[in-house]
Amino acid sequence: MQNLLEEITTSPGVMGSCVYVAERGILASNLPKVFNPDIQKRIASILHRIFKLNETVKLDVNSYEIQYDEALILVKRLCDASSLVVICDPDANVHLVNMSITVLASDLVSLIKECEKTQAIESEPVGETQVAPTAPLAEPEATSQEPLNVDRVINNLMADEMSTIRRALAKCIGPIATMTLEDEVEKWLGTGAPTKDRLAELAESLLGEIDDESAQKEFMGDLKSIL
Amino acid sequence: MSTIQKLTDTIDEIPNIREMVITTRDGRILHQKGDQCKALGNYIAYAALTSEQIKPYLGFSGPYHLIMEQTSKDKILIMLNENIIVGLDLNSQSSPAPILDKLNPLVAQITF
Repeated sequence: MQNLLEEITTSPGVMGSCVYVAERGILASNLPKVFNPDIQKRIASILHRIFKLNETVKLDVNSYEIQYDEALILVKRLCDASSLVVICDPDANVHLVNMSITVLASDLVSLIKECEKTQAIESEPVGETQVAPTAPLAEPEATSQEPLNVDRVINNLMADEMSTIRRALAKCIGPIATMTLEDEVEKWLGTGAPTKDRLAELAESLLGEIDDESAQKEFMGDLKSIL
Repeated sequence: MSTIQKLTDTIDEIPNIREMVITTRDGRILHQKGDQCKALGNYIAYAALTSEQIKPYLGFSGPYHLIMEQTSKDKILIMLNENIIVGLDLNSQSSPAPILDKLNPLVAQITF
């Protein structure tokens, strides 16, 4: 994998790159030493979140670039669990770098075991994947005429609990808390009914959105009254 | 003519733009054109905040724009200044570079 990153760095204007995997952090990197491993993990984790929004906003974004004064950052989605982050000079030839990334992306994916798992899930027959999302509809709270959706759960069925979670989350990650909560609640609803005894599962998944360990502890502390 | 009006008039003249949304930094929509603007408005605000969020770790200044590419090659172009975020949904025929050249000076002028 390190060799593949070195190949990307041969493109003019590329400072270095790293491969991030959600559950394992930085898998490989050849970024300059000024970007220490902890910083790389934090940055890549934040950048990878953008791809998690695809489902929520009905988009299929698979790469993006951010232009700063000092650098251009390119982020390529390798699979649901992993991203490639490339840091370039601000005036780097994006098309050339993108070509190099595109050519090597499939080789990188083949070296990441988490990508194998998500690809296997994505390629499951439709009939099998439809079982889980329909499960919550069998619960008593979902039998009313109103459809069970994220808005209804957050603003009606579990308004008090969700308000507590949103406030606690906002203290840790700021104004993106509302969107992050909606995103995670949607996934939570896909695995079961919106019941109070499942709030701990939701809290656990939200912990993954908070980078700082002390903030994670504070977040769980704020939720004690509802868990 | 207000600067936002001038910006939106200029955007209207550019071909291959399917949707346009202009929001405040907290995602409040100031101007919109298209069917999915609420979702696009939230998305561009989230993406812009994400790009701001990593600045302290890197010591960079900006960001000035983001270009998101979809599997279909359609793109979302996001331009930002201290006050607003502009999001454009572009089809695959569209090239962001000349659009940025045209709109960046106008976006930079917007204050309120």
